[in-house]
Amino acid sequence: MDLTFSPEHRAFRRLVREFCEEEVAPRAKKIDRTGQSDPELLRMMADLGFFGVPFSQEVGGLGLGETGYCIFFEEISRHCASTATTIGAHIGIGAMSLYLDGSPALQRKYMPDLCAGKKIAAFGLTEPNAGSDASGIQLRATLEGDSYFLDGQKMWITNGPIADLIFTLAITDPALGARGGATVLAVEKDWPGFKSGQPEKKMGLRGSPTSLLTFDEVRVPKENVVGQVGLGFVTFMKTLDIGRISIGAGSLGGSQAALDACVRWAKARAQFGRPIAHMQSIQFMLADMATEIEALRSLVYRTAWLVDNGQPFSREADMCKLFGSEVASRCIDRALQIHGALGYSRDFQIERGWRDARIAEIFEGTNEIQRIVIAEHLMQEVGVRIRP
Amino acid sequence: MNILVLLHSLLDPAGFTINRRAQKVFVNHENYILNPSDKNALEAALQLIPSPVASSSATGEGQGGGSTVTAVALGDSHAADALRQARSMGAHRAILIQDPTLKQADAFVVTNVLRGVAQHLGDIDLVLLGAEVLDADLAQVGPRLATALDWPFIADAHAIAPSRAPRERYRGKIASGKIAEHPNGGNHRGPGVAVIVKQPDGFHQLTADLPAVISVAVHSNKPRYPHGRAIVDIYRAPEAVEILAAADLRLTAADLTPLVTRRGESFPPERELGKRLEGGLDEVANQLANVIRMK
Repeated sequence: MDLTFSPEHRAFRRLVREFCEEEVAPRAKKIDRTGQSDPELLRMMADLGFFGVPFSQEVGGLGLGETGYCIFFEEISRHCASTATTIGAHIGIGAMSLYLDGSPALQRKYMPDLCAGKKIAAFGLTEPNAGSDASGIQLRATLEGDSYFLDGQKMWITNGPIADLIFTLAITDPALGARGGATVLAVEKDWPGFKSGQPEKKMGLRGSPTSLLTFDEVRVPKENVVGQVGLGFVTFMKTLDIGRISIGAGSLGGSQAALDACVRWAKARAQFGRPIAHMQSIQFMLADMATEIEALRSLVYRTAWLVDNGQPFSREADMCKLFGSEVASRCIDRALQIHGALGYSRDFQIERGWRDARIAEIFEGTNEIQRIVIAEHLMQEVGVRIRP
Repeated sequence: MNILVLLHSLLDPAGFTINRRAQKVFVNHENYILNPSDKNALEAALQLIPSPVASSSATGEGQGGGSTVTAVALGDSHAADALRQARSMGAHRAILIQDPTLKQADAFVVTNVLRGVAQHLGDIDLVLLGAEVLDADLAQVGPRLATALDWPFIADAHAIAPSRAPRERYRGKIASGKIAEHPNGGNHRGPGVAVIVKQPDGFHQLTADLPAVISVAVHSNKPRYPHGRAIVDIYRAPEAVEILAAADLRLTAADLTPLVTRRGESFPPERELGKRLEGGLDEVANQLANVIRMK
């Protein structure tokens, strides 16, 4: 079992790491304070091909697969979770649905621009009355002639205010409901009837713009159906599955950053006549953090390997998200404790990490849903189908 | 213009500490980096040519409109990695000189190898190298190479631009660090370069005929990030770095014998804390003058 990264993956990690240390880290505080993503930073990243990391070179991506994408997401998440989320929603769930199930014609139409960062994508599933219960969506797409007319709302949509292309799930056959009668449609933001709302004010990920989307009889040509009519729910669940792995990678990056900060602080901070690194209470916290991070690292990159090698990965992906989000919360919380008052101060980045980490247990499928789905996988192996 | 750039891969100084009591280097975190001023030299080379390599071609042949940047390094896998970084940034060719006889190479041997490479390539107009190498380097390679090739040498360049200025030096003061047009158009000897160097009294602009050897000051430019696609293509292509041995460069045994023998390492003691001068302005000035006079 060869557990080493390939030369191009190692070199790519180094490139992203240097870029993040030079360009992302100095901007992270301002992005959080102002609640604005940094357009210059996003443009620099687009110019280096970062908006298409996992996608094949044929469609305009870098061809680095899920492993490359996890590396990328981990490295960015060490410095700025908001920027990571902006690109993550674009690549990991937005463009990903088109990449997984889109027809060659539709991919040719949009993938090159998405990979080049010329168009930003968003993933529109959640509605005011449909969160964990995704099958409760009500956005309606009515077919008239060769167009669908979209009517309804989506809520809490990452990149909502800035997206050029919104991949959204709508009910096309009410009789079959979401599971058998929903379709994914690619909607361009300039089409009449589409509106994105004001950015939400959030605890963390403040530099990642999130908003309500309103569709008022938006006309969508039939060719903008992603995948099969009626099978949109399957497309979106597949997309979320693969997106979960990168949440694990992002949690890994954030946790590693917290640990690195704690190790440096334990060396620098002296109390009772010696660096606090010499105190067992601190040592135990550091050791626990490091062990969990190592376990998460193995889980994330092994799951990415499963994806890149065409093996089933759904159960492991849920575990990445579940374990990752909880490891990140624990690590950043310990980091806050170790840094003490300094950790609580807004002049340092620990408190930003603490605010940014919490959402990972909620979005992309709450950890409660993850637990249910993992249990379903387990029970299915002995022939029990858990009813939702 | 065909440019040769010398690269070094070395242990990241941020990863080791020097224990002066034990007179030993402790490597806490082993990490190899491209020597910073070499990266600036590479960036300077890429800025001098009209079009660096686009990302997709793994061999870099036939691109750049007749101008090429060739990166060269001595060593093994770390040097090869430095060369791949250079290819990813846009260098057309990368040559690794890999030979067991080069393990103890000093500046004399490195110079002979570089001379051999320049002659092997045949059409080099400019050699760029970093002004200092972070390990035990004495910045000798530049002037030694220039002497061996009988080319002019300029040290610690902050900016380089092609020039057709006359031979004589323009001894003006340059307000910003930017290349200025020579005031006398005049007759010229052929292609040359104008170079900004920093002197204690400000920036000066020097010109030199090509071919020339120039060392590039650290932080004098911002090295470009390689495109992600270039990283993927170059690191997947085994042929991206060409490997030559000392025999391929027609070097003699004398060329490869170092002049310097390394007998070990020793480190100077910690710098002592300075002395505090107190008193009124005149008293302090007097004390300071005495310190300078070493009384």
